[in-house]
Amino acid sequence: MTPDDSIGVLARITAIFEAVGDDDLGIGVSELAARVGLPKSTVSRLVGGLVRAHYLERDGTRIRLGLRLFELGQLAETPRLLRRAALPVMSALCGETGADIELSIRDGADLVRIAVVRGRSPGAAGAESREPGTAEPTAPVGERTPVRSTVQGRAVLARSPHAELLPGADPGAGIAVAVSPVTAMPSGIEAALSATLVTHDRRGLSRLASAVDAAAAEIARRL
Amino acid sequence: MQTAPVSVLDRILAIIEAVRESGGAVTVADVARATRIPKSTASRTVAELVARGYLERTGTGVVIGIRLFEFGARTSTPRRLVAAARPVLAELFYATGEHLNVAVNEGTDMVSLISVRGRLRPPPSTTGAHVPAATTALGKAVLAFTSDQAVVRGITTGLDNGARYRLERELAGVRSRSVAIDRCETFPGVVGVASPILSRQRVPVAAISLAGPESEMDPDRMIPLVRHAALALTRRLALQVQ
Repeated sequence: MTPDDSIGVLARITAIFEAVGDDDLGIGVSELAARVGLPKSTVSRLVGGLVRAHYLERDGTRIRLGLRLFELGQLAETPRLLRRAALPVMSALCGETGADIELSIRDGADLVRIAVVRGRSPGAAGAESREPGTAEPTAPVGERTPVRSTVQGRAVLARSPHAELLPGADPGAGIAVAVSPVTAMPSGIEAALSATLVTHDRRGLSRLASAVDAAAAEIARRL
Repeated sequence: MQTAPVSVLDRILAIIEAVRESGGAVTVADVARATRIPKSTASRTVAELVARGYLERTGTGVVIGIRLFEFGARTSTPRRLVAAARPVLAELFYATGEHLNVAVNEGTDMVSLISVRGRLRPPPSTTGAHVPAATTALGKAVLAFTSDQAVVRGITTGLDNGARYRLERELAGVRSRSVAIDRCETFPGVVGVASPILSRQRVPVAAISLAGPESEMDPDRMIPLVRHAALALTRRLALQVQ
């Protein structure tokens, strides 16, 4: 056995989880093998082991992410600590502003979204399919994006708050986005708290920005 | 030299499992001991798991990392159940104020996917917690409708003949009333009431439960509320699928 074996296997199972997790309905083994670029027999064998361990589940011929990953996700230390500190503050911020509130955490070159509280603001970014009043939507939590590609990531890198008014779908209405970094020492957590709201005037933007800034400070204090 | 990807996989899974079971930060030496993997191999595998974010180093050892949070958040079945359950649980909580759970079966355990804190202190379970399938209302609600005899046998083999007979008779009652009750069998002083969530093919996918103090809660008053919640959740899931 060479020392590189477990790196190879870990890279392969990571590719499998990523490919399977991209599809809510799951994918078949042949399609999975094609997507991760490995022989079907290799993928079959790994999938078999991961199904036995409940990391993946089979639904007929389709494969989906399994219950054990869900359980382990609940135990992940940093998101758990950060969510515990942040969720009450995020709910209060949502109640105060009516905006969609998001919390993302930096993981190297990426930003991972770890909590979302949906507001009352119709038509805010990504809000088309939401159900009013539900605390947490489905798709966006767990999403990983390059840190430089989002306004949240850039605020984390710059370590300074940022607010801007983007053009909205309706004439006269804009989408206000306010982001404040959340940094906690000595744990070294780097996170971004952001609020998105449909608004008609720039004063809405500055009010939102100061509310987000105060909430970010409150989360850092609770950590 | 032969490569053995499956056994490498088993080593990776065993290490993650050891960290999970420790319930907090655990050292590489402890991981090696718990998994019986040679320390140098364990140390190298842990380092790779850390590099890919499956584990994370803290001052006192390693813990579960953000990569597992990311994949966990994308699991479709638990996520759908949780999304569908939230408004149903909110309504049941406003009506009762009691401790609530939605859980799925995993071997001899029920695993809570979402938990709402009621008046019980300490709360008997939290999200992600395992409770025994054989005695809890959650477990009995699911077992009564489980056609896979291997699952049922796995749970009843540990019981003596008398207990197995009583459980089988109780499960027949659960099938006819769609409600299971746990009268302080799992947690002292705690009564639980649960009802199954069935798929269109009548396969149990989960159960919803309510638990309260034996001295102050009348389970008979809770039965219709829990059964109603289970039906509401079953309907929401059926709508979600298509």
